[in-house]
Amino acid sequence: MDFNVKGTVLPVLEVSLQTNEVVVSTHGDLGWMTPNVQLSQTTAMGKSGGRGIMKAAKRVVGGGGLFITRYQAQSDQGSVVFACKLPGNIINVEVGTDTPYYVHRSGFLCGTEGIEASVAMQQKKLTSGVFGGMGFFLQHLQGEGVAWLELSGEIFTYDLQAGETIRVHPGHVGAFEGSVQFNVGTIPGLANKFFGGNGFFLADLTGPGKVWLQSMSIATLAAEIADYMPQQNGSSSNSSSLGGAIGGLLGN
Amino acid sequence: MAEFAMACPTCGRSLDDHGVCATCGATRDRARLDGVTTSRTSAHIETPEGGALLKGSPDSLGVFQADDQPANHFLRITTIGFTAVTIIVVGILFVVALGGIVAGLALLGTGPIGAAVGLLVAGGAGLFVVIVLVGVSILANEKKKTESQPSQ
Repeated sequence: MDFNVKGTVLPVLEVSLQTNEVVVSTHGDLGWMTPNVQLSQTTAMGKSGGRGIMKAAKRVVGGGGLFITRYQAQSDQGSVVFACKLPGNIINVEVGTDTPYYVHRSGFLCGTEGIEASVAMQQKKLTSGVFGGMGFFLQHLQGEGVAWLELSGEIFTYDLQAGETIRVHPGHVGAFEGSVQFNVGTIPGLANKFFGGNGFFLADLTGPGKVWLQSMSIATLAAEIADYMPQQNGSSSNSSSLGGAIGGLLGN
Repeated sequence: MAEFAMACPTCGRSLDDHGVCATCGATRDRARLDGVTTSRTSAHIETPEGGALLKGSPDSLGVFQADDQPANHFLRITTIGFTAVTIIVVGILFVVALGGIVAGLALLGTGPIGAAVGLLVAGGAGLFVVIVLVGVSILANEKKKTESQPSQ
């Protein structure tokens, strides 16, 4: 089984499969494929093929689908291509039994059969999790295999030493190793919160371990585009309205 | 804090775009899994004998059934449930469309406004019938393809 990332700004991941080889995906990122690749749905994921309604529910909460799509080659030289939803990069991580990964909710593109996608709650405080901008839930990748992740914009990776912390706007957190501690805290100082334009929250990532940061925050992109989207009355909403002012004050 | 993408984990020199050190040849990541070779943009994975970890095959609904596990009734019931709801909704809309056509044709003879409204209603309903027929033909084609697909 071979994986190749192709393209530049909106890359795709091409997976070449030999007979009976399988690649799995949790939601619809399929671009195109050869006719000898057979699709099927399952709730089983991971090396053991463990399944269950609770596991499926956890996967949905984590950002994946209720069911897993299996792409299995019926003969040699099957090919499946998965496409990025946003301009960005596709990277791979080797998930082992002792090296799980945490990814933002829509970050898991596809993986080998042994990967198990679930949900994780890293935040200690409920409020910071809910209002942290990254959502309360992360996708938890465990099991054994290679997972491909989709991160928005450019990727910047840091190797944090034990106890070393980097503070990140929650929308820019792409993925991190299971050994990294993730907590969402507030920006200190009321003036900074209200007039800084950076929102209320920052994610504290503490080593040891690697973190992948994405230069494009999906929430920020959506907010920027929303300003230029046509409204029902035909005009765009790019104006200094009260809502825009309040939004600007609160940030993302 | 070391910027991971820049430095070789072995000698500390710069890595190229593929995450390989030009000086000592070390790669960005240490390999953790047997049979797996990865670089920044590619990966080669040796799969187990037979290709798949879970042996099995999909049924006519497209539900994967592993050989050594009990039938996945949850997924089957969900699939059948969704299909049933879709068929019921389409059936109701079909009946409504037929009623629309009849009502529209009845309105055609009631004067200029009646004719315009009647044409609109009948035209819209007719278009819907065409869409339904296309949907039915797609479903029939899908069934034909599923039956002709070789099983594993």
